[in-house]
Amino acid sequence: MNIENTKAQMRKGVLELCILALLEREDAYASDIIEHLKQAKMIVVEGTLYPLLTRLKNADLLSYRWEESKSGPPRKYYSLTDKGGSVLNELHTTWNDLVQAVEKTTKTK
Amino acid sequence: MNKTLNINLGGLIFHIDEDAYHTLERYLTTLKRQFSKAEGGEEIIRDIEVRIAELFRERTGKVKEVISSADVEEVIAIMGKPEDYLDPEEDTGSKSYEDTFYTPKKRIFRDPDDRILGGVASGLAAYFNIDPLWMRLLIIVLVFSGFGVLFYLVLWLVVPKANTTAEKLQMRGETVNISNIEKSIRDEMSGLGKNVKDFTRRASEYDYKRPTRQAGDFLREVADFVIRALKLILRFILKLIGFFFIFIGFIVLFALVAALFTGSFHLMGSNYGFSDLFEFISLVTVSSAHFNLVLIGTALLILAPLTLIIYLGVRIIFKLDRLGSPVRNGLILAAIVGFIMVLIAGIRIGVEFDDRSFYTTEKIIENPDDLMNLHIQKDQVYHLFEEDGFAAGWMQVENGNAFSKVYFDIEPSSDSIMRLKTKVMARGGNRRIARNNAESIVYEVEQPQSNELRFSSYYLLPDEVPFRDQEVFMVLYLPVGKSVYLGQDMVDIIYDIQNVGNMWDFDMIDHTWKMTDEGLECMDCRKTLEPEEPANPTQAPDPSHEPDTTEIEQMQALAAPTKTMYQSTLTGHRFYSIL
Repeated sequence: MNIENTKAQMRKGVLELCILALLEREDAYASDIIEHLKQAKMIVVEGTLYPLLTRLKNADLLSYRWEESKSGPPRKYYSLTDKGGSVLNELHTTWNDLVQAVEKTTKTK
Repeated sequence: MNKTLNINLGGLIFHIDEDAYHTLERYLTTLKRQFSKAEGGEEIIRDIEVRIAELFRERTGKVKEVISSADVEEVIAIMGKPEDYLDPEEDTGSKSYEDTFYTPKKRIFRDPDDRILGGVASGLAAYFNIDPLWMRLLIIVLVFSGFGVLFYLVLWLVVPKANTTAEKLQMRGETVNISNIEKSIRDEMSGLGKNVKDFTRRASEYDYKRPTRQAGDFLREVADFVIRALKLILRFILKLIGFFFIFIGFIVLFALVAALFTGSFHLMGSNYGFSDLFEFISLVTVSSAHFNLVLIGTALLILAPLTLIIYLGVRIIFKLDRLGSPVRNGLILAAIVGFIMVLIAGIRIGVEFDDRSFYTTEKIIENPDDLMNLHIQKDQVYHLFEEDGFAAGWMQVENGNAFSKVYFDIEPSSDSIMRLKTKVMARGGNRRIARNNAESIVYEVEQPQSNELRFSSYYLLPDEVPFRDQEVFMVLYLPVGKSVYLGQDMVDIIYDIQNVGNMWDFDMIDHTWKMTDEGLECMDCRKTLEPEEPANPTQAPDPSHEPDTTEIEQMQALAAPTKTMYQSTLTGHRFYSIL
């Protein structure tokens, strides 16, 4: 059994929640999001994020605008849509439930 | 030395070593292939390229201008291998993002993780997608409006607890509102429409394009279609029935609650409010425990089946699981327990009324005059009774309960002394208790002046004294030669007074009656007597006479059946019928 893979899967599951939560706080570039997630050790490789961002954008949970950067070409600047906000709330509740459930089941008696 | 290439990556120009270029190209090609099928694949690749360009820029500067193989390896390590890009959700194929978030059909559950009592409020809040706080406030408001406790208990019983994770997820599913209900019904209807369209399309195909197709297939299609259509119609009807059940259940509940506070019920020939009912139950019961037994038993007996009905409705509409057998059995048990409680309480009441006893007092009435005026004490309670047409046998008064079960009769005295005999009957668990119950009532006759007696139209049952069907029977023993005037108001208490004219009690009032050897004779109502036949001598009252049923039967056998019939309905034991 690949323990690393299991860990990665676990992180992947809550990645969407984290991205939405980050964007709720403030609009951000993809690289900013990556920076945050990396600091929090949520992602190991950056590649994971791009399909995810696109998928969230296609589901209208995120939107982006192009913004000029000081150096180089314009970059995508992501922000949370209203729909994204309500999904975030839902995920938050689910997450809290999950944490409770995990705590309950893993609690040593 | 290495050959370098110029590449445009994300709008930036890089110098890259040839072998590094091949590695990068292989990497990007693999990714492109991987995302070619995905929605927005090109965009993903573009974003990745931009990011890689960013990373390359961090690695190049004034000193270092060329991207080496090592740089590419490093960037690939940062970005992840192509298999790392795989999104588990994309693998599942056609499912859209929307589906993964919204597919779970919402069902109503109680939330065991966020509960104050039964998790009803949080469950409902999850169902309607609002903060549990509002639901709790609503329930508190409902409690104060008198409806909430019942509402909450019913939901507690009826709504299942979300036990599994799946159930907890289902608890928060699609938001349900009027437009969604409408939508789901429309969906079902359009499903029907689609079936029709499909069917007609296929039917035409069979008719024109595939005439060689076997008829059996066609018939099977017809049968399939009919069955599907019937299923849809059936489901629609079921929903309607569900609404109907809930409607009925809540109407009955509402009616009960409303009746409890505003309504009335029929007791002893008159209407009383439900608070009176509780008062009355407390009067006939033995103790507060007994009282509670009656109330709880009745509540269980009524609420348990009602809950089942409402549940059935809710289940049909919200597609709840079959009521868990412990809950269902519990409800049935509750109904049975309620029945047993009512039965026991009833038997207990019956026992309390089992035996009968009385006590009598006799009082000599001094009156030098020949005429005695008989009247009623017209106090406040009398007037209240009068308002109810005197059909009401019972009334709550300031320091107890008033019952108008007072009966008055006149009989000849064996000597020349006028006496008033008062006999109070009562029931009880045994004779001693019955006699106690008889003695504990308060009944008074006043003699404001020597030639006037004022009877009370009711007796008073002081607080804390149970009602055991106490009745006051009075007999005035009138010496021969003396007269009485029956005041008009006496109509409420006179009971089957024997008289020479054989007149009804109702006709006897407002007349003066003289005791003769034959019995009571009217002194001032000749006009009404004249057309009548002379009195039957055998009708002369028996000195030891007391009104009882055998007497009434005898009289019916004799001359005046109409009279006795009337009397028995007017003043007879009207109370027994309710007990």
